[in-house]
Amino acid sequence: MFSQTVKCTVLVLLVAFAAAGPAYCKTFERLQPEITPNYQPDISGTEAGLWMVFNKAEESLKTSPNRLKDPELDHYLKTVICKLSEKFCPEIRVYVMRMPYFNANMAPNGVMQVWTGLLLRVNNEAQLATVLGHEMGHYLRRHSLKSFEDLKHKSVLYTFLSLGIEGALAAGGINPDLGYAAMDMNRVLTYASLFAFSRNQEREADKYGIQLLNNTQLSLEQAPVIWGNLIAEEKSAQHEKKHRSIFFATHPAPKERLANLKEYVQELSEEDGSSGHDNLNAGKYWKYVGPHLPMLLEDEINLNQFGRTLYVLRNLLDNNIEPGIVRYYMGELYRRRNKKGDIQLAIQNYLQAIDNNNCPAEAHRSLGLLYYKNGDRASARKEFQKYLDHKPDASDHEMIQFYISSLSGDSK
Amino acid sequence: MKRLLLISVMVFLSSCAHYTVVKTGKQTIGSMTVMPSHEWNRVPAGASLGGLPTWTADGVSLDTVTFFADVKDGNTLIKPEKKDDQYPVFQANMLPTELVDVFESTLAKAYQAKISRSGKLTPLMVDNRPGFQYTFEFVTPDELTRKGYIAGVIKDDHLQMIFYQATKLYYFDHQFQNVRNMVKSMTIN
Repeated sequence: MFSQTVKCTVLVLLVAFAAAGPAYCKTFERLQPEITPNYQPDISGTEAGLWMVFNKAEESLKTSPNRLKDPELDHYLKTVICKLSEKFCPEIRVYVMRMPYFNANMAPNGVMQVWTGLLLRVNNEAQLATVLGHEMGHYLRRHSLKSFEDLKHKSVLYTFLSLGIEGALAAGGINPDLGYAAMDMNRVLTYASLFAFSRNQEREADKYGIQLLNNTQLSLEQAPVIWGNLIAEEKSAQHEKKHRSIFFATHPAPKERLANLKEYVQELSEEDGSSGHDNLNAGKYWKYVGPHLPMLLEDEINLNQFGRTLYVLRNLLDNNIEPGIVRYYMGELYRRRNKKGDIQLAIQNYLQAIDNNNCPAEAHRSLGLLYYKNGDRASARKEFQKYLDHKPDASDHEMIQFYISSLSGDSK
Repeated sequence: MKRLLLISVMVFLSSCAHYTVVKTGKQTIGSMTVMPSHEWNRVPAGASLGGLPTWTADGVSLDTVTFFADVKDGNTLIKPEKKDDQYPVFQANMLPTELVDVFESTLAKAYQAKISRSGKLTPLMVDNRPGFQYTFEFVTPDELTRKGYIAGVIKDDHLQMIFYQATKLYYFDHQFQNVRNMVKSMTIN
């Protein structure tokens, strides 16, 4: 068995021979944690103050109405964290928050938030572990503290420069147009510097995340897939949102992340000589996330961002996740968008949903609504009745009865 | 920063200067007329949902009644703040179930609200026409669980709708009967 050094040397020699020029074989340079297990900050320092603030915030998180309270899902997320780092996992507390956007974050005291929009966009445990590992990277490298100190230093410099410019303006020692331009420039440079610092931390967290993922038996190849999906989702939503979100100001561009992650995966695979870590654990992931799928999709659809949501739904279908539920929501999306041809697509999706297990009874209600409006009274009545048969205690049963009776009245 | 300062000043000025009393008796909002049985406070446009006519009894963070008067076919319920904000559109041939979809999606976007799935939708006669009413719960970014109630009707292709919301704890029940009485008194010209 060749060692990594021998393999690299051979590769360098081969490439150098072929190209008659310099060649490099990159090895994965491991990052080290900047804290020890059960780390507690020095009580007299800034970090202790930050921890105090976040400890208080954690108390609010515990009882937040936005928290998705599911002990089994929490426990599952914790087991994935423990796979990534057995040593540090006891001190990480994870909270799932009902936020329909792709995000997770990590506080300096070990509190991790995972948003439901992220759970909807992750296909399996390997992808989940990539994100959780990334967040742990922030924690282990004390990024919150460094960001806070960076912000503090740059705020002081910003204030100092602003006062200088304002002083010069007040004294008439500077052309006002030039002064205001200098103020704007000062502000822009400060923001740019803060965002650049944040992006560097994200790059480091990406690398640490992959390093932690390599401790597990989960597939490294899944790490770049998340960013590939995010790029595709952004493309599908381009006509809906002209401005890029703050996520892209503070994070490296997904294309860069995709390239970096692929490079790390390559380096680690060569190092281990193994592509043996190929577990996805998709079934396990959906066992815990699946029960929340209707709520996650309901929140997603309410955002009224059809291109983006359509991409998410297609991704779920491609991965054969709950087609009965996903087809129903695809029908909902087309019904609500209601562009030319959408109603027919909605009907097709509802019918496909009904052919699958776990289809929500609401598919019959939605079919009823569409038939009602198309003037197909008999089919509308039939579908409304099926909805009530499946869900006799539905919270809108009086309204559905009203529809049925008005349809009966019309047909007399 | 300048924009933030401007908004802060506007909110401050509006919060101090432009709340006015809504007297009992006949009140007209667009084509809609209601008869409140007690006094309310008229919220300045800058502090209300989408700048819509809004009243409050105990303060906007605790309870509000918002009037969606004369919403035309093809329009959104509230005017988007940004050009590329995509709000759902009202269509005059919508059934109450669809109106609830439009309303919930509007609320989710405007308030960043998470809607409870336990909404109750029932028929309601409004000004002698078949309308609807819907009760539900939602959570706002201030971490408060709120209860909401909408009641409305489509007349001459225009939606006329009242939206009452208040904190689930105490305030919703405090004004709910008054709001329902106001809905009963609703007439459309």
